Amino acid sequence: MKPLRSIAANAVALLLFTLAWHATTLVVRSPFYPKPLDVLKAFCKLALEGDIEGYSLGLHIGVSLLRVISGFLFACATGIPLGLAMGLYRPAYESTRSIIEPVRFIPPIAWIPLAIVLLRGFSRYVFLIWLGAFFPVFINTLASIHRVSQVHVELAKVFGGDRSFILAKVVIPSIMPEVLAGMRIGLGVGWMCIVAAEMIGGEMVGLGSLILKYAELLRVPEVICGMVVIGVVGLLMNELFLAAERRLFKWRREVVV
Amino acid sequence: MDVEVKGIVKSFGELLVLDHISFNVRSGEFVAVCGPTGCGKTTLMKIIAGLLKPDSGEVLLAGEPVDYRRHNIGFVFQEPSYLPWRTVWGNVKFGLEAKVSSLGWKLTREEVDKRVKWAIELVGLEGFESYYPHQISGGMKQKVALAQALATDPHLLLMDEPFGALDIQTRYYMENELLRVWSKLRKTVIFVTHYIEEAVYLADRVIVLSSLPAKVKAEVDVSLPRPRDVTSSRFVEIRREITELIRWW
Ligand SMILES: Nc1ncnc2c1ncn2[C@@H]1O[C@H](COP(=O)(O)OP(=O)(O)OP(=O)(O)O)[C@@H](O)[C@H]1O
Ligand SMILES: [Mg+2]
Repeated sequence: MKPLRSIAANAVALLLFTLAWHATTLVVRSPFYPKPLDVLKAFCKLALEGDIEGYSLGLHIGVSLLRVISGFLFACATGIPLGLAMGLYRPAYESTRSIIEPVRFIPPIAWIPLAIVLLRGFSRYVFLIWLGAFFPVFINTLASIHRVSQVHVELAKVFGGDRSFILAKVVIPSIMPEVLAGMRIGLGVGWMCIVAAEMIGGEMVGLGSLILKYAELLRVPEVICGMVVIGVVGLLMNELFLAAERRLFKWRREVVV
Repeated sequence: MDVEVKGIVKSFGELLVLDHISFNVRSGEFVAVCGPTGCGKTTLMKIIAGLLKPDSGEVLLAGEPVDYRRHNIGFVFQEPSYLPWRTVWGNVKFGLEAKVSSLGWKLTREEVDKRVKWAIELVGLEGFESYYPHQISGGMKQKVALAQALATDPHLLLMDEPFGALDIQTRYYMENELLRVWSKLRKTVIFVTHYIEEAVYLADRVIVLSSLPAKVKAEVDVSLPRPRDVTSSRFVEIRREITELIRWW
């Protein structure tokens, strides 16, 4: 679709969605099920005046971003080297599968009690977000090693390239697209863990804390406002990543289209 | 560089692929290895390059056991081997980068660039330096592979059905381009093909392999002046001779 058409179509879809939402509020008629306009009002108030404790929406977003990006970077710093090492040396993965694979399916929320017992302060956020972001990064890196073409390795060898040359000039460039895609997914999952992480952080700022705070007050417009902001920030981060991938992997144009 | 292939035997598991293959190639000679599909030509080339170890027998380059770290070998692979994330320039430079970083070749950046430029001009790819492989044609990709191999100034050039994937017209064109480059540089070349005509058109000598397990069935001298006329009676005769050889096996 042409960009202009796509924007127009999305604007129409968004409008229809809002109208449908509004229509449901007329049917449900619950004081805890707000209209779109109530959410917009709550948004303006949060953005301009801040929340009940005076923290502005911008601050909530910034603080959450900082936590998520810290956890995400930690996930990259651990997931990429580990995935690379285990991908290159398969037995290491094969013989630890019984640990890695089950851990992968434990939802981050299930770790909350342990995180409370074992960790303090900022490390709690980092840990919970790391749990969400680590596996996409790790698994993608691990699986990407298969993408390295044997011909490329032999080509490097016949020119005399040693292991470190092959790693730097063949393996890493070959797996970069996969690794970056894993990072993009990992960042998304990490971002989705923000509410869980801020449940146990014990601080009053952050988008997750904002939602929890207003949930206790039964003020749903602000809760939905927090949800929407999480969604939109997630979307923006994803788009940013995609744009970077498109730029970096120009040579892949033919494949991606 | 002289090449001696001495009694090479190679099997994959139960499957005997190469059965005592022996032949010699003189320095500066252009030799074609011709044989039916699946007879072990690629396997043989990888053994000559030292990428695969034979079960028995040995390959000597200039009298010494082959070692791709010590001998400077250019290899054009049967499968596409270009690096899709590198431009034409980057691809041609790849071999030199390996030599500099892993083998300690003392080349300044200017010298590397000069060689890359030389190789690109040699195969006629100037103007396409900044193109990515997906932006150029199949024939040009093979030129990239050739330029990449030649940029390191190898003593032995191994080409494994380099034009096998090209259409007939492009193949003829590439054969002539290869001859033009070869007559300039006079490298030792071993060229694998299963097209008899291509072998007779290009090579000083054709080594004919049998089907699996491959043995050397014959060595045929092609003492015809270049450029060769594929319709001349002598050419047709040699071609028929090799065809008969293969047929009667
Ligand atoms: N790594 C391998 N493991 C097992 N069998 C192999 C391996 N490589 C090659 N073979 C077998 O060895 C035989 C020769 O293969 P090779 O690729 O050398 O043939 P070729 O003459 O190059 O064929 P083509 O003309 O199709 O390129 C084939 O039967 C193939 O199945
Ligand atoms: Mg082959």
